[in-house]
Amino acid sequence: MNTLLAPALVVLCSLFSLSCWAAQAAIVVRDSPLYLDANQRSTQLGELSKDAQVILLLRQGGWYKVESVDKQVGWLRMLSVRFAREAETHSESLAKLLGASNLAAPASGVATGVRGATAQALADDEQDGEAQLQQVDSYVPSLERVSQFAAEGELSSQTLPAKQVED
Amino acid sequence: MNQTFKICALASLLWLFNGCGVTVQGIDLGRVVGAGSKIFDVGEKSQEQEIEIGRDTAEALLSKTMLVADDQLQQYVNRVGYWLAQHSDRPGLPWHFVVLNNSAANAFAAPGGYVFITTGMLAKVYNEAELAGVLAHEIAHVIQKHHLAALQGQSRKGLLGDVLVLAQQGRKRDEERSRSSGATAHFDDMVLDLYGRGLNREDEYRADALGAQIVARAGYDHYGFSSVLQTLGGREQDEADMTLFLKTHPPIDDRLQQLEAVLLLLDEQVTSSRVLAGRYISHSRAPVSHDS
Repeated sequence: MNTLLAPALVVLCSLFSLSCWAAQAAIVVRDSPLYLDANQRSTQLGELSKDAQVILLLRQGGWYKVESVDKQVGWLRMLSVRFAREAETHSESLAKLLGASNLAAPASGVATGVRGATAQALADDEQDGEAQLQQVDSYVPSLERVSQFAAEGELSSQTLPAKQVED
Repeated sequence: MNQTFKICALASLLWLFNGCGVTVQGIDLGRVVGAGSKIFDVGEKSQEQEIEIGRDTAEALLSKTMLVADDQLQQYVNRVGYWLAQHSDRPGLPWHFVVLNNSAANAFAAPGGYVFITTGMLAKVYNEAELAGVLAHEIAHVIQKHHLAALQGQSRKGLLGDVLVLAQQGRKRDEERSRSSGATAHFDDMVLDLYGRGLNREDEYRADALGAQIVARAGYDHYGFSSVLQTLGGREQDEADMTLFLKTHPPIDDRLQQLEAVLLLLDEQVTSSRVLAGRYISHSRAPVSHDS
């Protein structure tokens, strides 16, 4: 029974994972060609203008299958779009209602980090760092187990030219 | 000139105090300076020292947050992380991958091979390639010694002042070997301050680029990390738990733009890549929550 249940769960999970894209609205961030297939050499169906709205249907590598407002379906380069922030409008109206200029701090690269996490969820609880560190040591896998894990996932090492991109 | 003088003065203080057992109003200055000197010098020294500092850093972080009590999840994340690390330039480091029980979406690294990821981040990841992307980004920080350099920089800037303040005011008594003792508290403060501010943008962009290469070498979909960034970018305004990530990292749009050239180059070179959504979800579903 369990042997049937596990693969079924994985299939269900995979379907769930794909469905995560199904309802995702996105915005085109630059004028972008729409292709018939997920391939730059495939037939070009047209062009979507900057700020056009699309629905993301599927991702395949660096491509999204999208549906445009006029119901045209095709493939866009993944990084030509950004997810629409549906809640942004809601937050902004809330901010106006509350008289606040901004509900969320902007991304600035300056920060609160672990200290912020402490304030949110960690309260002032001191943990036994040393004991937890020993627990962390116990999770280290053997290299044999790692290789087996990779084989189970059909992961294969790829050879890339050294220093192809500046580190 | 002034900076040179400070460094010389600091070096003299280190030499004088370190291991000499000098105590000012209950504070063992040898221990205080010892903790600092370990950081101060490490860039020019051995991998063993880097690992030692990393362990101290990890302990400081783990004294403020809890692991997820889910051995299977911890082991799974370690296997993914180790497979990636074997495809990095430093496979021989003692790597540790740690899932923290925290709803804020974040991930960070410590010198010597420690990589942390929160349950909040796992909740925004949909497959193993995306998880690999996040871990590889942090592995890249370790490879490029970003946190180590930042800790050194902080030590150079801050330690001299701290020692003088300590000497002048003798502010607290020191209980030996306690986490709240003078030297340890000083070190913990420095660690928490760094992780509170985050690294500089250039370090993040470099880690994004190297992380994508590590992921590709390991046979994962190299678009996994940009997919995570897009997910985070789409939710940044409506979730308080995103504030932490956004404050410690550059704007997501900038990162995606910087990353694009790297990804296009990898497109031409990678012959096989895996996403592994089912395996990720079967391992990561319903992680045990500290709050539940």
